[in-house]
Amino acid sequence: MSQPTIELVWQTREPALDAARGAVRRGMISLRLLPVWTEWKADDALKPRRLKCDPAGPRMYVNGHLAWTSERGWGDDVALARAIAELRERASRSGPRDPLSRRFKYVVLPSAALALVPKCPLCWIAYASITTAFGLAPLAARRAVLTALTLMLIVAAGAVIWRSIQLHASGPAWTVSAGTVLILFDAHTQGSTTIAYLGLCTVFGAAVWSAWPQSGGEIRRVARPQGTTW
Amino acid sequence: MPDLAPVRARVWSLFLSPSPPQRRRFTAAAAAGRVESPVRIFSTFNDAHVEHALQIAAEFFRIADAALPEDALTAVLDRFEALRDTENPDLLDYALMVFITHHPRGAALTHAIPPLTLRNPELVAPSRAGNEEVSVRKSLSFARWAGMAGTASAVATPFAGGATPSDGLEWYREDPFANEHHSHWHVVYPTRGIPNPANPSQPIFKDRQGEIFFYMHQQMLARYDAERLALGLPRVVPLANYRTPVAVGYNPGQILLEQGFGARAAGVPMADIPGDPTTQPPTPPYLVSEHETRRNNLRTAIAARAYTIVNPPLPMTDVSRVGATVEANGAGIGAVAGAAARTHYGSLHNNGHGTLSVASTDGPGVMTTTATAIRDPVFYEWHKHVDDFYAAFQDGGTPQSFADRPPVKIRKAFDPASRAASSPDILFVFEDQLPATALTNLDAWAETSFGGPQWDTDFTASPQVTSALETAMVQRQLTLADHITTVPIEHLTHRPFVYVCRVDNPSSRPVAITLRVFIAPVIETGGHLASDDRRAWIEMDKFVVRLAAGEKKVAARRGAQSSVIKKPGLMRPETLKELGIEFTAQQLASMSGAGLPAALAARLQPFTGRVVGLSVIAALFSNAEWNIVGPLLGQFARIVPTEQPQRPPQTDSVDDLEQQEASNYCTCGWPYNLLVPRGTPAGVPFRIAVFCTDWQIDQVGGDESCGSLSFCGARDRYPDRRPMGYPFDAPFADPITDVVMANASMAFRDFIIRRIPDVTADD
Repeated sequence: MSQPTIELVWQTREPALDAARGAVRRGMISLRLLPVWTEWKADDALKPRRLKCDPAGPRMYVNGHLAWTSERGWGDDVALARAIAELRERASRSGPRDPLSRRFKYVVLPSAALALVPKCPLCWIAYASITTAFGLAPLAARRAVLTALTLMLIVAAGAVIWRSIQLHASGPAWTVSAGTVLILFDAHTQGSTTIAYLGLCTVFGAAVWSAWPQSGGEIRRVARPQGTTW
Repeated sequence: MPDLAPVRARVWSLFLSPSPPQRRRFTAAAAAGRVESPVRIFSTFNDAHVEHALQIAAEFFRIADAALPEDALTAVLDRFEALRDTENPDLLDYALMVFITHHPRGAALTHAIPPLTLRNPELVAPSRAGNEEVSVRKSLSFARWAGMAGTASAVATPFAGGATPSDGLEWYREDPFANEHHSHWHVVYPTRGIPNPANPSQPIFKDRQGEIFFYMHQQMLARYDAERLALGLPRVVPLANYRTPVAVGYNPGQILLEQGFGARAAGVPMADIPGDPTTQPPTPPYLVSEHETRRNNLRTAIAARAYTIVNPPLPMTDVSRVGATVEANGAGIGAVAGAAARTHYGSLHNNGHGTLSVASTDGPGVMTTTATAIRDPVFYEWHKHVDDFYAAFQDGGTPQSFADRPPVKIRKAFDPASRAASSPDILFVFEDQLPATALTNLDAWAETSFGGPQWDTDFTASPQVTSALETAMVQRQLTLADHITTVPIEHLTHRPFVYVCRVDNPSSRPVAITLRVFIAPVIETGGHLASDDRRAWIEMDKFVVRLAAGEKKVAARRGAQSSVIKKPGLMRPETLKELGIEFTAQQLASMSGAGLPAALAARLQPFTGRVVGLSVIAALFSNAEWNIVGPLLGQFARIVPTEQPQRPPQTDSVDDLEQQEASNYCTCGWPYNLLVPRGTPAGVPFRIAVFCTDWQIDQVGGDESCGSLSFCGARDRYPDRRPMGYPFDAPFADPITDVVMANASMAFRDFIIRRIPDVTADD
């Protein structure tokens, strides 16, 4: 079985700290483990959040799990060694962490989302509008940013409207116009955030609608140049 | 493309011209009024003397700049020789060394300066040289010493100098290489700055000069304290009360007395420095009361963390300015705030050397000059007081937070019952126990031996490693400048070793770390362990280790690569047994004249100045088969080069001079033979601590094959952005043990330093 990761978290220099160190050391030696451990002080900015401190005294974690607190005292070497052994055994049974759920959460989902979202040119403009619109209010250069936002929205809306005209479908045009009005209204009047989000969602929806493949529509494309790829 | 070899040979010879007769000639000429120079006995702690020396150095700079590149060095040496009749010889030597050390063209001559043991052997002669060794001089000095000391014990051993009462630490204070280090360091960092190469009349100061002044001396104190504790003596007490009689006296020994130095009797306090009416303008006396006033002004400033003499008070934020102010006020607040500030805070450190040096009788004490100052026990008391200003400034700062530490891990443990620190990741291995191929690829050997599948193995009890470092005292003969008289001399050495440190990078990104290695004695003193005091920690090394994401790396480093020592650090105790005599370039020339074949002389040339076994010299003259010398030299070529000049750079091209600049600093650094404290035959407990810091923040750089990065820095900038001595440069929020335990990027372990039986030349 591998060497467990033992962590001792303490808040202040107190008599119990040395007692805890002694107990941890004896416990590891009794289990024929290399008597080494990691300590964290409660106010350490780099201390992992999973490790909680206790004003009552040090706490011991084994492989990330709470194994012992000061409430139980640091005099019972046998029980403490048993606690280390149990958590160490549990870790060896459960195998390594970083399970499939973690990979699904951090790799598969974002990848799938990225693969599924529309990637039309107008969509990128819409994404940029949405992602950059957050947090604009407190900016010092608000006036300039608002102007830029207005221009970008007009360009984006104009593009959607132009495509709608080409496809003879007025739905996206009206939708994007409404969304633009909502965003600009909120931006210039500092109204409700809800209105802004509603406007953003409307623009986004209009962009997707506009980019969606049309069964009957015809778009004249420029002939693809020979020897090049898209 | 001129040949620099003759110029180097000339410099070597100029420095080797015996100093004692030169000093006598100059003193006689000065007494007869034939010399205009006001400097009678040159003191590197006397601001006026240093100013004068730097004016001469500046003249050398100008001469070198004005001459054609191929003539520059010759022109400087011509001027040097012309000044010999009118300037103090020690002052002139100092000026030439400043030129060689700091001028771009002078750098080509770096290795042409003989070591102090050859240049001025009298100054490193042991104070306890017996009367049989100096019998020629005995009759001249007995009356002086006996009459001055006037105590029964001194009369009983009239020629035994050293501390009175003796503390058994003469070997450390009088170590010739430590004295050379101190002397050379003050050439690298003159208190009044160095001539600006762009405008020699204008002095400039080196990067962080005041801070390195504080730090280098603080480290000397930490080492001295460790030696004292090992002998059961208390740590040095600062000489903060200037009226207190200095309990321990110092007699520099017969040979130094003859050089004009005086002995400082025990129980004598520091004294007023008399004025000199012969100078223009007359130099006023410097009173101890004035000294006290300046001390108090500095204390007030540091307590207030502001230079209160300046209106409005200038905040005290730069440790380097504090150091420069305390040292000599050259680059200190005096340089910023003008004469008033210079007078208000004075030149406390330098004048302390002066007031203590005049407390001697029959001549200035050894405290008067950098080549001899550290021989006197009062040097350490005085510098502990100076260091108190450094510590007070540091203590007034913010405690270390270590929030910027890298995400690496070194395993360790602490036993609260025995107070013992342990770590399976910090190991020592003796070099002589390494496989033959290990030294050529240390990292690969370390990885194979301690990494991979053996990562979790605890080697601390393995015969592969050692839990005790070993040292030994070596005795040999020092040849004085007359090339006839020899005196026994002893110095410390140690068994070469390798550090091994296992570092884990569990993070998902590669990191480069600076590994900072310190040691401290684990000895009870004043109710606590010395290792609990941040000022007791001795820097041993500092180097960069790069780890890939998730890598578990075994870093290995030879002690001889230490960032604090003068390079190269090579020493083999077993060969030290065979040390015999030294031979110089002049002696080599004599041997050539006596029939030594030219080809062999050429082979010997690189080894001039080295310590060579008697058997080699005997072989040179007795064996017709000269070719046996080759293998012998191969054997001896590795002997104690810390004291010896290195082989001059191979290039002789003037065009390459700029490239040689960096090698200048190879001559600066703590002596390798003193890297490891001496310990005792029973063993002295020490603790080694390793601190990892983020190299991206530190940016420790520079040529690691060259001089001491820690004590001398690099040519332009100190190669570490953190304060010197980090992390011991500031108070810790918790006891040191707790801080190390609570930081994964730090570790410590206890070990022993054991002194093995003495080695003598006769063994």
